[in-house]
Amino acid sequence: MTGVLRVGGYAVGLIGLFTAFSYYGIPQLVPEPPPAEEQVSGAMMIEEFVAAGARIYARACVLCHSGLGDRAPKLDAIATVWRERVDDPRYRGNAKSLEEYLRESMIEPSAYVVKGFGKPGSGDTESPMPGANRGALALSPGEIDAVIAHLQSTAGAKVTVAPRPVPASGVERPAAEATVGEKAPDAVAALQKFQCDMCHHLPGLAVEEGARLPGPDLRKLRETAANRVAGMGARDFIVESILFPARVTAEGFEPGLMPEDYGDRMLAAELQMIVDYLAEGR
Amino acid sequence: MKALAVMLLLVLVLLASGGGRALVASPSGAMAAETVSAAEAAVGHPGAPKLTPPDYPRYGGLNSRVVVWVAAQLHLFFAAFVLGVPIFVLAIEFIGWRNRDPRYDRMAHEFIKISMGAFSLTATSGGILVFALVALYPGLFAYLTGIFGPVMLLYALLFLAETACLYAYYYGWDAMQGRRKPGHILLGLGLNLVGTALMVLSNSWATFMMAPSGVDARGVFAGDVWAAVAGPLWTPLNVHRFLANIAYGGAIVGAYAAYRFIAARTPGEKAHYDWMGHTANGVAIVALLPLPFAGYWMTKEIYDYSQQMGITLMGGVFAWLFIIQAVLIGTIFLAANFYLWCGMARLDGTSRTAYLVKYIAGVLVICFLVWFTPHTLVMTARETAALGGAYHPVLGPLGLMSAKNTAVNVMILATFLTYQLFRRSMVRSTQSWMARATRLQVAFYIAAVANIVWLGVYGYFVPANVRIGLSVPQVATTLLVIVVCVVVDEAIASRSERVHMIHWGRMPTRAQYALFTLAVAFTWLMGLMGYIRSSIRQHWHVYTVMRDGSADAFTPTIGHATSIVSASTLVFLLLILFVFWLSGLGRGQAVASGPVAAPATP
Repeated sequence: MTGVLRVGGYAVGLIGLFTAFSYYGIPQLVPEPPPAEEQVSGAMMIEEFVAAGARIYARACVLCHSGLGDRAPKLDAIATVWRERVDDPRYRGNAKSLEEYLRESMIEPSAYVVKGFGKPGSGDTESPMPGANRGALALSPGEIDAVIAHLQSTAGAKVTVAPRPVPASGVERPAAEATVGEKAPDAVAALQKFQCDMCHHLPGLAVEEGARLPGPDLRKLRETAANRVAGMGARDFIVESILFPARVTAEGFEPGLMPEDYGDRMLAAELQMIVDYLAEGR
Repeated sequence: MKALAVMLLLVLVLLASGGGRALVASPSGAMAAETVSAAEAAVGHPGAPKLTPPDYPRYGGLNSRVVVWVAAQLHLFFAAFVLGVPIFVLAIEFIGWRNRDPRYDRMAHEFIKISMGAFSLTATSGGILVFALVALYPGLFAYLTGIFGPVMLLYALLFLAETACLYAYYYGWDAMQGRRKPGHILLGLGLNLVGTALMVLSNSWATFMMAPSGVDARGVFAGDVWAAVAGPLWTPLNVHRFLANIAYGGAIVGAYAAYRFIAARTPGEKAHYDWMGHTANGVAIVALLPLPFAGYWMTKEIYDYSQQMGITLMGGVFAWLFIIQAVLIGTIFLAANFYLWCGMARLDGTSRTAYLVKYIAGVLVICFLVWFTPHTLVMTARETAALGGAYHPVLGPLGLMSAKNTAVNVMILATFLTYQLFRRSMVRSTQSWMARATRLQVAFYIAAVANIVWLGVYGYFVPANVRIGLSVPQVATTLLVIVVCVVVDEAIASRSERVHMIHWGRMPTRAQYALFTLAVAFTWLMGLMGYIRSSIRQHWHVYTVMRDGSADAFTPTIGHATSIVSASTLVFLLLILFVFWLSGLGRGQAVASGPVAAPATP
């Protein structure tokens, strides 16, 4: 038994070292939540439209088109080099303008492959870039327009695309990928974004003292959440209450008032921030 | 018996899922309301469901992702172990049979005994994983079952066959000696074939989730199961896991031998477990050497499948995890070499080549530091200004794959050289051609290192996709040296006189902790790399086809992820220590007459 304790202790120590290195030797980057479709509406000013394109570009393109030119071609001089490319005998597309060339390059990347950037063995006839309108990127037509506007702007060319009017149906993607807007920077902003303070007294959000609101006062939720449902911890209770409000209704309050679609509208990171804030005050 | 019971339950779960149709209807009913496309109607299979948070049942305070993560990781640890051990057990048994040496037979039997102890835990953790998936991720499980239903049933049946083979192989060991030995070896071969088939079948589910094949862009299954199984990443993952399982099995039984060595009270026991530890370390190292190459192949295939996924893996947030990987692999190489260096104490007198150890250690440390150097640093604006840019002006270039590939190839050559020195210390050249052959080996080493370094430098002057391809000639160079040296060494050893006796058991206790270090680092590394492989799908259950709609559809912080890896490793090691303890019960007398000193036959 002594042997087990000795080697067990050694193993625990070693695992502790690896874990400590992972915590303290490596930057604790907080990865982005799943990408949500950028709001691109016909009411946007052109500067807003270009800025939206820059955000999409930073999210979807910059990992390869980093500006170093090692993983994918540089795009800073695209306003001039596109003409040389469409005149190249290797060009297999139909673009007649910079806008068309950019759109074509995003949707059919193999129409022209810059030398040295093709798939290995393809002789620079096949691009490794995925189509921007499908697969893991799956940008909407409006988002592709915005990226084109951003690229034209940064390359010093005239911006020739404009925001499209939003279709009557409202969204271009399935309900599961519904528009959720830009991520709130912190928990208080997230609570405001979803207008939680319209119905609840909340820590950090001033509401007229004594005002009678339709939902329970949540300022002391940190102390009470763990005891609301037997066997359920504070964090899970809060998650459950936000995503499935019909399951638990506080005594003295009318059931069915709280919207049940936060699961579709709230980013995972926003939910986590709100839960952290309400459960632990951080 | 427990394994059989668990697998029967598994079969029942699969049958109850009815190929997935019964579970496709989500709690929200969102999928049922979808319009059936022409493609779906044509092939009779639905597309990938579009899940939302209510489609993921929650139970009490359980975090679904963590539950499935830990269950899957524990199952993989145990499965890798029980599939890896029989491969080298069969090889050891075969060697013992051909050489008529009962020591090999006894050692192989003891190895498989540990594997037997872990087998029920493999089945139990597998059962827990299936139930966790069904209960917590019903939509995903249903979709996968709809495609892989026949494969899963075959898997369950093969598991029963694996159970039968393993029990017959282990319990028939003593009865099938002498003239029956070939039959027993055939049984072991059958065990390994079934085990490998199990591994490749289950690999297909993981690779389908990373690089789906046999389905269209909406996830509609065309009906060809083989197309779904044989995806672009299937073969490289099969090769990688096959090698890794052997290395892992070697590392774990090495820890067992170390544990028994530390607890041993007689010279006979110490000698037996020292020999066992030496063999296990050899198995782990031999299987480890080609692993980086299998890893490169896997990564290359990932890039070929999706450059976006490849860059996410190597150039995004996951790149930092490869710095942790470098620490772990550096630990493994240093521990394995340290054990081999300590092993020279088993020989009579001082080894003629012992003076080289300090240089090899220096090379290993330098290579480790190169591998450890990150490419892109996360810095504040003030730090960036102080550094003069995003990359360190001197060390920055060492962060590129060219430098890392070079470092790992040289590390492998240095480790092989350590092993070679140990072997060559036992013999004395008796003929003139042997000296010339030795000089040829030295020339090969020098030329190989020069070629590897040259290719590494050349990599800085070519685009990234060409640079990745340069790892192939680097690897080929390393393998060529190993093959040539093994052939030459064998020729010399077979015609030379033995100059040393090996005193098994003459090893310091600290060397046994090196074996433990190998086991812990291997386990932790498997957990880490498994996490990376799985997480590069990011917010997709099945990449580009089926989105993760749960509240957990985000990549956790590195610290959180490694905490889960650590917890899984800890639980596994505690369970495996329990298995060690069980395996040691009632076998005190069996090794009392083991060899203390033996002629040098490495």
